[in-house]
Formats: sequence, C-alpha cells, structure tokens
Amino acid sequence: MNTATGTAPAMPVQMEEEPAASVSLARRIGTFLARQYLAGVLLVLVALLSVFQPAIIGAGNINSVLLQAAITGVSACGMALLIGTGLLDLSVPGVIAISALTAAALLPNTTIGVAIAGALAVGALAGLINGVLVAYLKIASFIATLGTQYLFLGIAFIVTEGGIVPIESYYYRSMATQSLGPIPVSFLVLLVVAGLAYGLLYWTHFGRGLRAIGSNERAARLAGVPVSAFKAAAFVIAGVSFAGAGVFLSGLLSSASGTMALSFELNAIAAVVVGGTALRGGRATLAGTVVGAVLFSYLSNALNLLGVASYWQYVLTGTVLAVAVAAGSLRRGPEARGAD
Amino acid sequence: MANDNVVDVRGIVQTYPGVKALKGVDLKVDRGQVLGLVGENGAGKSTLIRILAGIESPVDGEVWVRGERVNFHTPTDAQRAGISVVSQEFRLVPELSVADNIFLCHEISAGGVVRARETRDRTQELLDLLELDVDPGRLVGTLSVADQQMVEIARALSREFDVLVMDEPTAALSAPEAQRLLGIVRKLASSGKAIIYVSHHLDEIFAVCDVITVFRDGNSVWNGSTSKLDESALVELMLGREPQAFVHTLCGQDYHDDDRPPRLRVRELSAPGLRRAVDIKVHPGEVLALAGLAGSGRMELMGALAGDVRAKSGAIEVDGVPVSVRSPFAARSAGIFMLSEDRKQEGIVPHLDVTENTMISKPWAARKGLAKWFTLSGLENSTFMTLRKRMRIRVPHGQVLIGSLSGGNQQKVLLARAVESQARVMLLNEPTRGVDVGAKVEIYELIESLAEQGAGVVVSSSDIPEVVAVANRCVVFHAGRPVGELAGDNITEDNITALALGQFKEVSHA
Amino acid sequence: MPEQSVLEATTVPTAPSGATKPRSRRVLGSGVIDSLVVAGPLVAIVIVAWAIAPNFMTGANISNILSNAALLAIVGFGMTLAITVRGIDLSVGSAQAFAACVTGISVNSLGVVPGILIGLLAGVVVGALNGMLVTLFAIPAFVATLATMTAMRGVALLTTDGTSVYISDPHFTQLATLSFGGVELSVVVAILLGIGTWFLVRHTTLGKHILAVGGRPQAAAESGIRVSRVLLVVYVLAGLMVGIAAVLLSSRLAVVNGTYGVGLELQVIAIAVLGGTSLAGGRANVVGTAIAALLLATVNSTLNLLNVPSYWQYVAVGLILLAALSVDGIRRMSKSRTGRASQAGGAA
Repeated sequence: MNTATGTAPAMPVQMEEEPAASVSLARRIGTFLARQYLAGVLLVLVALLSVFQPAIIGAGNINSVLLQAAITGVSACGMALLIGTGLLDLSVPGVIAISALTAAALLPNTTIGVAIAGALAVGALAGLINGVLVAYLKIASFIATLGTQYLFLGIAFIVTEGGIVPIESYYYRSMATQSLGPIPVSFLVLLVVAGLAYGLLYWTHFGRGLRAIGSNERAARLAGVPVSAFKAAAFVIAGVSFAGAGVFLSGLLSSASGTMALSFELNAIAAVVVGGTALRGGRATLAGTVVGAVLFSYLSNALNLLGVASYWQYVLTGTVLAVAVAAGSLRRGPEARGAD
Repeated sequence: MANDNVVDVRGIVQTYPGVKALKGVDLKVDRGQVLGLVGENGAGKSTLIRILAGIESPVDGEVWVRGERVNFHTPTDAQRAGISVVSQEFRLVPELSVADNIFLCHEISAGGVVRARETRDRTQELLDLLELDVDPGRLVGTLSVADQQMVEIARALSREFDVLVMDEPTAALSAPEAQRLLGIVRKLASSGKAIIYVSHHLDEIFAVCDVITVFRDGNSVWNGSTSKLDESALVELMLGREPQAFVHTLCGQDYHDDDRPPRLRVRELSAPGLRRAVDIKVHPGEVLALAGLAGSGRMELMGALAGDVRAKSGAIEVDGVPVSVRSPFAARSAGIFMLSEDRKQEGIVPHLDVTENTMISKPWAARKGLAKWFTLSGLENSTFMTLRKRMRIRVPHGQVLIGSLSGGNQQKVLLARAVESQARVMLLNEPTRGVDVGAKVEIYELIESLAEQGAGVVVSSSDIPEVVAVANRCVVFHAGRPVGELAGDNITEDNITALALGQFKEVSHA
Repeated sequence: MPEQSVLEATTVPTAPSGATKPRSRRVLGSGVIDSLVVAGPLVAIVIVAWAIAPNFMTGANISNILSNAALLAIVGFGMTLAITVRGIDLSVGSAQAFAACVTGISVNSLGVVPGILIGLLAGVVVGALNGMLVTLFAIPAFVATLATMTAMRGVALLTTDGTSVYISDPHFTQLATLSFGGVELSVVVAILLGIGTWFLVRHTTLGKHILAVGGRPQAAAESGIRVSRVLLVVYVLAGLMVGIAAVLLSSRLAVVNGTYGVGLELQVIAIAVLGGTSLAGGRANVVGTAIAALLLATVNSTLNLLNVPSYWQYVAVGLILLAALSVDGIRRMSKSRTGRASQAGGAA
C-alpha cells in the first residue's frame, strides 16, 4: 500500500533505437562540462590575477605550479577513488610523512627504486590500517582517518624526534624536479596515474563495485559486491597514491619530516571537489580532478606571488570546500533519484 | 456548513513524479462513525492518510474539518486540527522510553521542562486502556513488534483528537490483541469520535465499520453503509472485476518424486526474527511462495538465506552441497541471489546505468577471459540488449540511468540482474510491489521462465493473489514460524489468509 | 477545536487502574551504568600514574589535571550533543582559537565584560555557521565543519596576524584561576555546564527532541519535530560551549594565538565516544563525557610528568580515539545484526 509513495517516477520512455555509443559520448562531454562550474569560477579568478600580476603566467612559474599540482593531483587521484566509493581519507598528511621518511631512511643504503618501493609499501600498509578500521570495524571513514592521521603523524614525530631528515641523493631529487620542456616529469606521472585511476574505476569490475558502494551501499551489498574487502582495497590503493605524492614532495623539499604535508588532506579533497566530483559518492571525474589540482595550485601560487598572507590560503580552501559542497547539494534534486 | 461531517475530503489529487497516486478522491466521516477505507495495494489509501496527517500536501482538492477548509503543511497542523494518526510505519524512536515516545512533540511540560511524574501517570492510563503491560520507562527499542504497535496506538490516543486515522493497526498484532483493539475502536466511536479505519483484513472491516469507502487505482469508486455489502461484493469492488479472474499460471507438479537433489535445502535454520527453526526444500523448476503478514518471519528467513542476516544455527544446501552464507557476497558465490523488497533503498544503484545495474551481480566464476577483470562495455551492452528484448524492458538504450525508469521497468532490470547472476536459487521479495498491472503480468511470466530454466525460485509476498498466481507450493508464516504448507489446489486466498492470521483450523483441504 | 481527551470521554471498566500497578522505578539509568564503564579505566590509570609518576598526587598537579579536564569537558558537552543528533563538529579547535583571539583583542581594547561577551559571541557565530551549512544547505556535518575548521583557522591567524597577543588586564587573567573553596572557576563552570547539559538531555522537551532527531530522524520529523531547528540549536550550543572554553583558556594563559586548539577536535571526539555517546546517534552520555575528559587529562599529564616527548601524546590520543571508536563500531554491528529483524514492523 505504501509503495506508491516510494516508487520512482514512471516516465514514459520511448523505444527508439538510437546509436547508444555516440549519444552517450556527446552526453558525457556535456555533463562533464556542466560539472565544471567551480573550475570555471576559479579559471576566471586565475585570469583576473594574471592581469594584476603577469609574473604568474611566466614559464618558470608555470613549471612550479605544475610541480605543486602534480603532488596535490597524485594524492587527489587516490582521494577521488575513495570519494567515489563514498569514503574520505583525512590521514593524508600522516601517510605522506611516514612514507617520505621511509624513503629518506632507505636512500643512503639502497637504490632509488627500492627506496620508492619502500615508501609505496608503507603507504599501502597505512591504507590497509585505515581500510580495516573503516571496512571491518565499521568506523565512519572521516573520523577513523582523523584518528590515524594523528597516529601516523605521532609516529613520524617520534621517529624524527620532531626534526627534519635531509635527503642527499641527487638522483632522487632530480627525479622529482626534472622537466621535459616546460612540463615536469612528475606532472606527466600525474596524467598516467589519473588515467590508471579512471580505467580502474570505469573499466573494471572492482571499480564498478566501488561506484556501486558509493551510490547505494546497501544495494551494492545485496547485489553481492564484497563491500568490506572492496573498501579496504580502495584505502590501500589510496594509501599508495598518497605515498607517491610523498615521494615527489620529499624530492622537491630534499627532506622529509612530520610537518612536511600538514593539512594536505584538504588540498587533495578540494582538488577533487573543484574538479566536479560530488562528495556523496557514486562517481568521480579524474580529468576534473587533474584540472582541479592545477587550478588550486595555480591559485595558491598566485596568492603567494601577490604577497597575500598565507593564512588566506586556509580561508580560501575552507570556503571553496563549503561552496562546492553546498552548490552540489542544492543541485541535488534529480541526481538523488539517480536521474543525474 | 451545517453538516455532521467531521472530515470531508473533496476531489483530492496527488501526483508523484510521473505517477498520479490520487485522481480526485472523496471521503466523508461523521461523528461517532467508523469508516472502513479499503482498496488493493497501491490504490492510494496510504497517500490519502499521509495527506490527512500533514506529511504531504495534495496537488489539488480540498480537505474540510468540522466545516472549515484546512491546509496542512506539517504534521503539527493536522494534530492541531484534531486529526490523530496511527501510521502503518511506526514513528517511534527506539532510544526513547515508552512514555517519551507517546508524548513526543506534545510533551507535558512547564517552561520547557518535562513533567516526568505526570507524563508517567498519563502514559500508565493509556497503557491500561489498551491493556498493555509494559513499564512506561522502558525503552521502545526493547519492545516486541506487537507492543510497539500498541505504543503507536497509545500515542495517537494521547493527543486530543476528533478524528482517528488507523492505517493497518492490527498488522503486527495477534488475534486476541486485534479483537481487543476492535473493541476499543467501537468504544471511541460511541464516545463521538470519527474513525477512519484502513485494513486488508475484511473481517475486521465488517466487524467494526459503519460505512465503507473503496479506493481503486487512485479513485474513490464506492461508498455507503456496510450493511449493503458482503465480502465477495466488497472484493469485487476493490478489484473492479470478479475475483475468479485469478488463474494458476503454473500448473502444480509433484516435485517430491524428482530424484535430483533439491536446488535449495534448509535444515533447522534459526535466525533473528524466527521463533522456530525452519526446514524448507525447493526443487529445480519449482516456485515456492512464502506468505504471511509483516513481521511473521518470512522476510527474516529470506534475509538469512541471502546472507544479509547471519543465521544462528542450521544448515543450507544448494544442489546437495552444504554452503556457508556469511554475507550476500558468499551467498551469491554459492548460487543464491536475493531481490530485496525495497527497490529504491536496497535494489537499484542510482549512479549506474541500466547495463551496469544488470551486470553487477555476475559472479567471478561466470566471467571468462578478460571479462573476469574488465567490464568490456561492448560485450555487456549486447548482453543487455538481448535481455532488454527478452524481458521487454522499456529503455531506448543501455546507458539510461536506472532512476529515470518506471517502477515496473526498474524491477525488470533487477530481474535481469537475477538472470545474469546465474544463481540456481532465486529469492524474490515482493517482486511486483509498486508495479503497474501490465508489468505485473510480465514479471509473473519472467518468474515462470526463471523456474522453467531450472532455478529454484522462492517468492516472498504479502500480496495473496500474487502468491496464488505464481506458487507451486506455499509455506505460510505466522508470528515467527511456518504454520502450514499448501500445495496445488489448496493454495487459495482463503487458506492463506486463515493461516496467516493464525486460524489454523479453518483451512479447508480441497 | 477538540474538546476533551479520549481518556475522559471513554470509560474502561475492565482495565485495572494505574495506581494499583506495580511500578519498577529504574534507580540507575542505562547512562549511569555506561559511565561507570569509563570510570573503571580512569581509576586504573590514576593508580598506575600514582605508582609510576613522581609528583602525580600533588595538589598542583591534581588542580592542573582538573582544569585541563574542565576545558576539554566543556567543549566535549557540545560535541556530545552534536554526535547525539548524528552530527559532528570538527571545527572546535579552530573555533576555539578564533574565539580566544577575539576575546584577547577585545578584552585589551574594550574591557573585561565586553571582551568576554564578544568571545562567547564568536563561538556562537561559528556554531551558527555550522548549523546553517548543515540545515540550509543540507551538507553532511563532517564536510561542513571540515570546511569551517579550515576557514576559521585562517581567520583566527588573520585576526592576530599570526602573532601572539598578550592580555594585560589582571582582572581578566585571574578569572579562570579564581578559587571557590579550592576549586577553580573553570572547574566550577564545567560542572555547572555538565549538569545543565545532562538536565537538558534528560528532562527538557528540547532534550527529548534532540534524542528523537538522533535516534530516528524520519520518525521525529513525522511526529512534528522541526528537525532543522533542533540541529541548528545543537550546533549553536556546541559553538557556545567552544566560546566559553575559549574565554576560560585565554584568561588562564593570558596570551592568545591563532594556533590554539590544533587537534582539539580529535581529543574532544575521543572523550565523547569514550564516554559512551554512540556515533549512531540518539544516545547522549554527558556524565561519561565528563569522566572521559578526566581520563584523557590524566593520561596527558602523566605523559608530561614522565617526560615523554609530546609527540607520544598524539599517538596516545589517536589510539584512545580509535579504541573507543572500535568498541562503538562493534557494539553497533552486534546491535544492527539483531536489530534489523525487530524493526520490520512497517510494510505489510
């Protein structure tokens, strides 16, 4: 009896035979652009700032913006995967710190490859801890990872006794800062990582499971998606991506420390959200995430060059987050029903 | 306005996106009168109740209370106008006590401070009236479903009201409790209250109501005195045709001679919500229906079989092989697929298109080569297009988001998911809930074809005509236990209803 | 209008009268029992600390622990309310820094009383902002307060330009340590606020509505409770608590800085959850929050006394939080496993 109220709209759907692929491609481009309203706003801001401060669009500066964007972007790709699954990871600063410290500790004794592998392995382990807490102990992801952020940071501080571990290896540093023309290698790595994340999310059964969990976890569970295992795996993958960001960041800084990436989780979340991914889960735009990372880095760089107090960076990040989510939430109407 | 009608509903229209739930219904109740509101599932009764309760506002039409036109925007508006509602879905907060729940949002208070003593005493009076023996300080979450139902009723009575709307108030009650409630209803009426009584139990309607209004497909099709009708005439009004229109679409076979192992065999399974361990068997090609009221245990059994709720003890075998269903994932891997009764909350995945929604339950073992890991959209699309044709799913292409489909088409996509899961045991909960008549028949045909292809199908349904239509065999649940099994010609609406209400002796064997 | 209640209108000869029924009064509410569960570890930690830490049982140390616990508990009461309505407030640390900076600046420029009032107002403003983001824009609480946490940190740093502001007024700086029979003002305030919050939850209509909104939001809404209003009030109250704690903190330290309160949200969520307030909503345990605040303050103080590097406190708090959350998670899981079936009342 009560079902009439709970029933989804019964729209008459024509039985036209349409070439599905081309329709969906055109539609996909359309919806992609429609979701970039925030990126649009930031683009206008960047353009305005560039007029005031032409140095912002100088070649050297673009290079440093892209370096920064690569670091934010690589961690944002992992974050996008989690957000698509309806999860969040606030432990990014801690994961970056402990993985970079691992690399810094290994470097004097081994090759760069082993050091990086070690860092990524530590990231995976940290992700596994997060994953177990969230998927198997059923703790809300934002709060569990808030706890592990402090745990990992605490470990980093204890290991370094609150100090900084320098990185001497020339090759490690140049790996992080080298450029092909005006484009840093790390940014090219970001493009590859974003491509891999897209493929994972949209071309594999695992990714479909993640999106299903983000969209309607209960339905995904009943449909036979191994929800807990998939969530834990998503955290592990995200942990590896944060560790990747940690490798680039430590190379750029030539050091590793507990404080090297404080409040970096917000940059990663902001890049994802600015790129047009809703925090509700169910989907994620990786191309948008790259765009978001670039715009966000550009903006903070411009604020620096303009001599604005660095504290404004916090205000900006917080405001962008709130506006992005509020706008997404107000536009929710049709999407909540899935009519997107 | 000089008439006795306390409530006068005129031409109410209510639409949901794409659905016209009410197409202009009328309803009148006088003081001291009990009005029975009857109709099939989806006829619009609950929608009208939600409007009278102030939870929804109608698109068009008028509601008059005591000769005044009213417009309810919130539940409080309705309460102020003297309308009190016993809703079918409990509006109880498990974390609050019985007393706090009963007086929630109209607390007995002074300056914002609740007067605990007085609240307790008033609660005790109400509980005594309903002959409910629970402590007013007990948390509602610790009560049985039947006691919760009584608290919900006590809550409606705790307000000052002229009109009491009761939506399926006996759904969770035992027969003696229901009888007692009917007595209270009569008493309230004789004290001058107007009562709108909604029930599927026609015997209750005839026992307690003075007048009857019949809803069908969003219209009020009949109203008049109870004495002008008998049960069969009322059923005919509700259905709009002769009740004999139902025919067995599946012929009854005797599966017990089959020497293959049963598709599903359940031994001594006990699970939360079941008061007795259950044994059932489903053979290949058989449709077993589980009937019974809400809370009777059949939904809990389905949940345990699908790994959604963990069984306490017992064994489950699929094709003679013992399986462990610790999660829905484990169940699916063991060849068991469940369709949830709640399509929106537990069925569709709104961000995925219809193709992805169809393919999501395909197990690892059924995928080959690259498709084991990758989704390969070309391959999946052609699979979906085949299913679309076979199952008559009305979508232009496979990339339509599932949320934009009608209820019937969504259900067909979910049944396509069942097909792709390649499960040998299909557990279908309320397969046609909220589905229009045309799609209903098509879904019955699909269920039949699933069985014909060798699956063991279990249909759990509260729609008794549906059980009669699809079942080869039927197990009826009452109060947490299976109370009877019907097969072949014994599967009749009367027999199922009698068993479901706990009246075991009245079952006639053909 | 309806003239009289049904009870007066109907006579029920068969029912026994209320007065003759036996009444089982629950002497101990479930909340008190839950609080005792936290009190056990507290006693254990105090004994261990007494045994291993020199100077633990000194008057100065005890008083220090009490006033630290008081500041944590005050914010914790607000957090308890937020968690009870299935929300969270991650902005407490930044909001405390902001309110403290505002207090310091306005005490210096406007005087003690206006300074205090403006400090409290600053807390309320952040709370109202959180409440509006959660209700008007329907943003999940953790995202909304994550955003305000970030933004308010920036604003707090901007108000003092990143430097420390010293408060010169001796009346103000003696306020927090003002002694009432050996008990500091901050402890007295915490006790009063604790009793107030407990009373609010247990004995007022607003409290019932808070529990209902947290326990079953839809049932609350359909019962006629204005859910948004309740949520807004809760976030404003949480902000007010932060403001009160900020005023006491700035009085005690006599210097304010935009970096105050980093990581405070973690400690405060930890004490609320440890105290027995479930993240599932609908259950507030104010007494538990207060006891857990004492526990955390004792742990911090003991680590200090033992000269353990301060980073270990990060690890300790993180572990305490994760342990409390795990217990809560496991409890919710076992509840939902048995609970789902018994809720099946609705659809027939």
